[in-house]
Amino acid sequence: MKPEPTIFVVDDDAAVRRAIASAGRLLGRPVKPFASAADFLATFDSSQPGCLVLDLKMPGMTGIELQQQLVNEGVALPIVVVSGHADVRIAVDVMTRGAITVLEKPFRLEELLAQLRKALEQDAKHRREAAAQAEANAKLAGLTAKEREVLEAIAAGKTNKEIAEDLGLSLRAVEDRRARLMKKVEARTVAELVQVLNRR
Amino acid sequence: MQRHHESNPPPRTVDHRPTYGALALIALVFGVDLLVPLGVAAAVPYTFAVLLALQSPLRWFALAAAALCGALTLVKMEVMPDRGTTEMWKVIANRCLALFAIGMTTLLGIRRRQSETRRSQAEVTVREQLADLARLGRLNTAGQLAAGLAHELNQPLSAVCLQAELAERLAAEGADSRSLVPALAEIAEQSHRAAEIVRGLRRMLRHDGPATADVNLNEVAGSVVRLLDSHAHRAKVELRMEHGSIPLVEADRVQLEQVVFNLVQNAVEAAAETSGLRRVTIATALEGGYVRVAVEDSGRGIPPGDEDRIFERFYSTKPDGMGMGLAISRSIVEAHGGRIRAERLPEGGSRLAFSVPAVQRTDT
Repeated sequence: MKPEPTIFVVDDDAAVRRAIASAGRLLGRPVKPFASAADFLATFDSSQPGCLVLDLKMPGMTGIELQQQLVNEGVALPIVVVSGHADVRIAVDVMTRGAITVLEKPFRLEELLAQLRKALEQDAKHRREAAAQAEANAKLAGLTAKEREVLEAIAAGKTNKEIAEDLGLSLRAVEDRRARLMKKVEARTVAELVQVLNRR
Repeated sequence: MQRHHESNPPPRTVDHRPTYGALALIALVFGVDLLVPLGVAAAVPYTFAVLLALQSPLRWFALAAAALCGALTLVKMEVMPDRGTTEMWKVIANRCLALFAIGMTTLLGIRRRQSETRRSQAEVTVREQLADLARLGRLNTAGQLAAGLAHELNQPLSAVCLQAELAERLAAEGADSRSLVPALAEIAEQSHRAAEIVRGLRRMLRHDGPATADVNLNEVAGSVVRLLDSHAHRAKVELRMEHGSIPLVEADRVQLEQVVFNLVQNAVEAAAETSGLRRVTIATALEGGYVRVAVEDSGRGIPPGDEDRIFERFYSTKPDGMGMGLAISRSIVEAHGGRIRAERLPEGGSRLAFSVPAVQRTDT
């Protein structure tokens, strides 16, 4: 069901593209090479997990412009930048926009593989977190306003008795609401409850 | 430029005719003076003799001839004391006038010759400096190219490095040697590509004398376009090449490359200054036995009336321009027996075009 993480390669130089593609296949992942940023954008789907190896200097849309567009569209695909002339300014520029690293051509195979692994891991972690967050939000959305009130108080570290006093409820009513919300959020302990809250 | 420099060697043929002519004239005048008393009139042919002597390749000869004329003028008085009815003081005054005329001619002649020598030396110096500037211009061009070439070299180098390590890894894992073939083939191909780039750079930097060969100007223009492509792209200028069907020209490829490079580089810079269409078109064509290369840009155009001035040395519209590029281009084109022209285009922008004679082939 879930698409397989794919290594995308965008470089206008055919020889470099072929070499990076061969290197990427060593990781046992599918590799999709593109000769230009436009070609890549034409087929790319942001739900597709993976990472992107991106050359900066290309005719047409440059690597920096492509990265900017992906950032603007909220695509968090990790990018490994490869460049022939990575001056500090450009490196800082692309790193602040979230690139994994900047590899200066020519680079070692091991270096590329390590950065690709790191990028794929980051993407996987990011997607796991995003999924957990979506789950937490869905759970919290099912709470009533009153249950939410109690939840905030629990998270703030208050005891049932304190909550009862604050909200002007009986201790019994607080315990009831607490049990209901714990069930809805699927948390067995307070620690688990707080975790869900933090993921939101 | 070196071609230009070498085609004007200092004249080395020694001509001694003025020397003998002057001596013969002095002998003749003295002979006539002995037979017919010429008096002060003898000074006139003597000054001619001195003027002739100034043309002699022997630098001291003019002075010697003047001294000889002066001595003979005085000697005449001793040899021919018979002065008829003329009074002595008149004879002396006449001879002094004659000496004065000869002396002044010599003095003015020598001074004039000195200033001519200085001027021709200055001309030689200017020509040498111009040749140096031309080479400097080429080195400067090469310097600008170096950045582009470094990037160009990096591409095959990156591919070679990765493919070699991939092959190494495959081999270490005990892979079938046939599976290494694609990586090894790629390494060989990319190494050749790198070598070709290095050859191009060397051609550009070489400064031995002009080497004429049959040159295809489409190829020259193509290689310049490749070199300037990234520069144009950075300046957001579109570079278009229109290959005409053209014969070869007999030329120094590097020099013509430099001309095309200068024209295209200027055109890209001109086009980059406009906010509208940014385009440079390089077109080649055959025109009446000449191969013509025209470079058109969509820039603001040459200032009206400056169409010829732009080829002058030190003329530049660029704030940091040396004004050498087009001057050098013109001397290269002219040394190839061609001509270069600039014009404003009615739709805006300029066209700079040069044409050089096509190689005449009778065996086709």
